[in-house]
Amino acid sequence: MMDLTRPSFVAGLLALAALALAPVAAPAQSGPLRIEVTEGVIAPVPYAIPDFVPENAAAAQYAGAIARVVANNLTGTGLLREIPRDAHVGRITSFDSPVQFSDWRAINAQALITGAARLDGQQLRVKFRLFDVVSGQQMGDGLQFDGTATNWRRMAHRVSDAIYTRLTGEGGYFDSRVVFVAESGPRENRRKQLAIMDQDGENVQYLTDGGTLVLAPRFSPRGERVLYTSYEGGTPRVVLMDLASRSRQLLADQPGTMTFAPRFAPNGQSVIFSLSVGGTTNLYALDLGSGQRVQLTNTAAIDTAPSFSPDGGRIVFESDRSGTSQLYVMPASGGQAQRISSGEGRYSTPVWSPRGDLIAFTKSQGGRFHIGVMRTDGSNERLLTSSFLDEGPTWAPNGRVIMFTREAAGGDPQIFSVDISGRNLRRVPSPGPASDPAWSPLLP
Amino acid sequence: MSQAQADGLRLRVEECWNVGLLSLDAQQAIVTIGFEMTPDARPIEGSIRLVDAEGGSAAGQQQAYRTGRQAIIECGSDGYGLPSALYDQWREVEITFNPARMSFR
Repeated sequence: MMDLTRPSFVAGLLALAALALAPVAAPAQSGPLRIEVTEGVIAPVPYAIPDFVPENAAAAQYAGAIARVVANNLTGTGLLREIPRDAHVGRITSFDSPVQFSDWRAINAQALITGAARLDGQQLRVKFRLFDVVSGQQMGDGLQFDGTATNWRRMAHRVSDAIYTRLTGEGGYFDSRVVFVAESGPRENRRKQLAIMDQDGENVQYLTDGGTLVLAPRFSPRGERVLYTSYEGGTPRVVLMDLASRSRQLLADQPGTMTFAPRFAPNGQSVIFSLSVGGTTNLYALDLGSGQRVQLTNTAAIDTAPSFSPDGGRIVFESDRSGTSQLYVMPASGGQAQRISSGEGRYSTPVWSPRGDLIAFTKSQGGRFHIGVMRTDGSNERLLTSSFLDEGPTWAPNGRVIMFTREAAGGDPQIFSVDISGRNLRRVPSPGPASDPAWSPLLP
Repeated sequence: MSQAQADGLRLRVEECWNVGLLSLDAQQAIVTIGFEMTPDARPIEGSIRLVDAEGGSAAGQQQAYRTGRQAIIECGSDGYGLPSALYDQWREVEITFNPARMSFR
């Protein structure tokens, strides 16, 4: 403990006080006072979003609900904090009336979102405006979206994306979906179904009936197809599903082999996957048009979990060729692989960021599992999470958020998300136990 | 004007410089914002202007400017508590917002 009575400490304080009271040593000031700010704070920005204004009676049921979806999306980022509606002083009764900024400054709102909805038949029109309350100015022009009433949630997500982009300068991720494995039944006889839902956990639909074990679904670059691993007949097989028709196609089906861990190339024309035969597991690429298959690695080790760089030029994958599972990068056509993971522990399930700057991965070390990110050369590794079991990262379309599977000891798996800063760890709602999430691109 | 008084102004602005919403691009931007103050040390909103910007894209610089401007206004709303006797020395202020040393992620 520090002794505050020590002469040296007191003398130091006096010296500091003298320094503080001394005039700035600079010569007589000319021009403005200049200072440099190098430290800031990271705190959720308070904003207000009153219920949107229904512009006709038929829109009443949507106006408030849309505003709630937008609020849930924005607050869920951890970057913004909604000011409760019962604290609002001002009222928005008309979309076009001037905003009384003093009402919103009074509750310390820094941003204000106003909106309106109109329903004609099944045609729903939603519009919004975003205001910087501090400066008393509108941020950008108002926007409107047209759609059908059944798609009102999607319209709310698109409004959310537009607002998010204006506030952060980055692309949004709300109008997107997640394909995952929905689990049910007793642990010893777990039923696993492929399912799809909106990124906020709504609109769950089941893609398979649960009669066959399924694993590791992956979206195509445009989000209209899904690859996954199915244990039909007891052997892992790569399956391609068209989401609109639900039609299925076995890929690279060859007797005596096992195929798994598939992922699309960025152009959607080919897929890469692992193929096990004769005790070795190597990476292969399959051209979906011609059916031509190319072997990319040729080792006695297990090479798996491949993921393309966004430009399609490189592949990151995991391999135990060094003795433990580590991450490697190689050209998309195969060839020399460069190990990029260098820390202690085992690395697996690497996924290249849609921005191209980072690779997310699973790391196990000392009995704990982590989701982490590193630069594509392996530098600047940062672990974002830690638990009994965290695994299988997947990137949001804007590369700022990661979803993954978390399982507590003796518990059921759940889907979680975390910002790439490591903040804002949240559970993603799902109808029950859920694992293996894969995030879609933004919907067209 | 003492160093402590200048540091006090800097610390006040830092408390309101919320960088959480800055895009990765805007985190590369260094912006200098100039403004004038009233005799009771409140920033005059109409005088706030971008003096200089470097790094990042134009959009990133604009976002960085908006964030810095917000900090100046927000934390100066009750006055910065500067000595009125030295008004000539702080009537005009230029603040450089430099996020380079901050760790965002």
